Amino acid sequence: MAGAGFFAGLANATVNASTVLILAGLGELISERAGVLNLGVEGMMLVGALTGFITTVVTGNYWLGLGVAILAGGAMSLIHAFLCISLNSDQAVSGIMLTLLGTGLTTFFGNSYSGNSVSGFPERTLPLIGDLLVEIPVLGPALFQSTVTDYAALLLVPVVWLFLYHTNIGLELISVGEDPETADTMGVDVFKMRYLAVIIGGALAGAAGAHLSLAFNQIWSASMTAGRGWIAVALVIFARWRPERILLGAYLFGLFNALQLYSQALDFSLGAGAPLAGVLNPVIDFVMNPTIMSTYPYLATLLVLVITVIRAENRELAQPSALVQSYSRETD
Amino acid sequence: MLMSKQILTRRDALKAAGGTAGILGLAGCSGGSDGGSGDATESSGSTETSGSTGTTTSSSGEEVNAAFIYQAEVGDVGWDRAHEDARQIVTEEYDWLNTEFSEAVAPGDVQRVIEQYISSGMDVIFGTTFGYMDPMANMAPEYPDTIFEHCSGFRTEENMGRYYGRLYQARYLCGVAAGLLTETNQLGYVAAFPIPELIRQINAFVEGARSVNPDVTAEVRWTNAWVDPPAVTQAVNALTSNGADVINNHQTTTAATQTAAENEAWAFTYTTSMAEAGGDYYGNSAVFNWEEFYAPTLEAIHEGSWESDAYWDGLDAGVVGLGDWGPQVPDDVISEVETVQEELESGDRTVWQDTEFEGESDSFLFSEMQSYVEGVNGEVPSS
Repeated sequence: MAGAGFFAGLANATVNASTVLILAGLGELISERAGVLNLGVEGMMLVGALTGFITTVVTGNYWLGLGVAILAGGAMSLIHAFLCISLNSDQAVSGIMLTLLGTGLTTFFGNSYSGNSVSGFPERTLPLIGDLLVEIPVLGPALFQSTVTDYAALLLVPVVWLFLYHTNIGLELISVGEDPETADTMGVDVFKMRYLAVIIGGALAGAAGAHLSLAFNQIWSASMTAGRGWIAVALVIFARWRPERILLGAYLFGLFNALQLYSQALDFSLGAGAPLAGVLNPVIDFVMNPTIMSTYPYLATLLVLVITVIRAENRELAQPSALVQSYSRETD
Repeated sequence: MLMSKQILTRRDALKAAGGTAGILGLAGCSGGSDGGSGDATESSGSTETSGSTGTTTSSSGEEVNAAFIYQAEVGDVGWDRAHEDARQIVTEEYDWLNTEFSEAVAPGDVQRVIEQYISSGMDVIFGTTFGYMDPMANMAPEYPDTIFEHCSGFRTEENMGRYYGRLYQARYLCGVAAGLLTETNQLGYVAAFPIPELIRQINAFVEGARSVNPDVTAEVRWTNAWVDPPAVTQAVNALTSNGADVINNHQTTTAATQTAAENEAWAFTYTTSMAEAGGDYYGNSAVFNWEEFYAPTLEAIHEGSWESDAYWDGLDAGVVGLGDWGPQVPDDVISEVETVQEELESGDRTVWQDTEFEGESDSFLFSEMQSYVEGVNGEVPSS
């Protein structure tokens, strides 16, 4: 019963669900690579979603909406940067506080906008070759008939990879997350670098929020991120702090998200006469239960954590050494 | 957490004060101290009101002071909006009635809010979300002079009634329209959690459709969240790609209506009209007209004849009904639905006739329905 249409729909839904995770996940990755954990992603996404939405409602220009969302996310992360980098506050507490603040403020200020819709980013094919690519079975429409934000998210994966590993500033950023003291000795401005990383992270979280309210849904609804900011945090761990694996992880998380909804119509249970049907069917029911399925990405993240710890001698697979550690320059 | 409060007679002035109180309260919470500043602003607001109107309240009972408590921000559409619309209607209607409301009150905070209302002289407290049930039922014996009314639960006390509307009857009417409108004979339904309330409405919608079009089948997708627009959108896409050309939903967002329209499928929804989001493909909405409950209840309180009961009325009382039709719904569909509505109101037809649920008690319908009627594919997932 699951034909090509089913898989095309599933592929499309997976790609759709992934963009927001790629954007927020890359932002979180950059921040953590510089040694700053940001648990405020969810709040920054909400602020981006609402400010982008209001801007688009008022001006009618969704590009301006996206720009404002990026600025708003960046501005909010500035609070995190100031608290954690300048004041050496607890990173986890600051991040969670920003998520609560973002949730509360957007619920309050978004109140009169809930239920409104807006015409945001339209779906476009790539110029010239677009129509040909869309003809590709199953994956064509999913990948090549999307909004600008979808394309931008995909494009950002190699851009961030190049930035981190093949530019001086990117390598300095990584060095700050691994060993801030040494980096400082070598002349890298640890504070500037961490500020930069946290602000880029917040800006990308804001863009992720704007993608939801301007491209994917084109509505504002309180708490519309529904925990995707937290998924982005888990995604960075799952991706073991590597940008190319963010893409893989986002698709995997997106696939389970989509599968949970798409599989509900399918009957996976064995016929009554099949061997072990009495034993296996309850197991299948449990494994395919929509609520249980939505936990799979987190189970996978736990599994990766375990594997990473077991292979801890391989440093490049593990988290940045100075993550969650505040840095203050020794004065003498 | 975020709490604001408005007093209708001074709506505009206090709107700003309420907002400020909300932000201060929020800042207070985040900083670890309780939202004392927010409370102070509210108390002064309440005192002003009783000063201007309340001299005769306690002695003669001529005036009725009613408080409405909502779990979420009211917004433009949805559950709390429906209650708030009704509050405004009854407040306009009765010159002996003063009302106040609080929005975004989490169940964990509701006791504190109720105590404050009682101390400011409220005669009746309307709590409008399931999560308030236990706190209200536990408080009712402590405050025998206050009337409690709780929406959507099942507990009652001597001074606490419960109320709800048979929205499933209006869903049935939407189903009749859906059965006439569908060309693929496949309906889609996006639902939140598999609890009896939602299962009842799904079943009624499908029964309505099959009463006019026996070939109709329906598919349900559960999102396991009350508000998750991206998941709703994905669920609607999944349903329409499987051939559904009419979508109904049960989530407090316009996402389903909007996505259905994008996929050129008819959209039905609930609690308040969502016509704007559906455009040309908007069908209708099963709506609550809570004023049909609040008005007689407040009159009974005013006359001193109020007694605790379990209110569950439907189309015949007007407490549920349909909203305005979408611009493209054909007239013959509308007139057919109107005929069915008259039959339901007069009792010539019931929603559950010829189903496995025919003749079931209200308590079964209210809290025990756990399976689909014929025509709904699949099984209710175990919750």
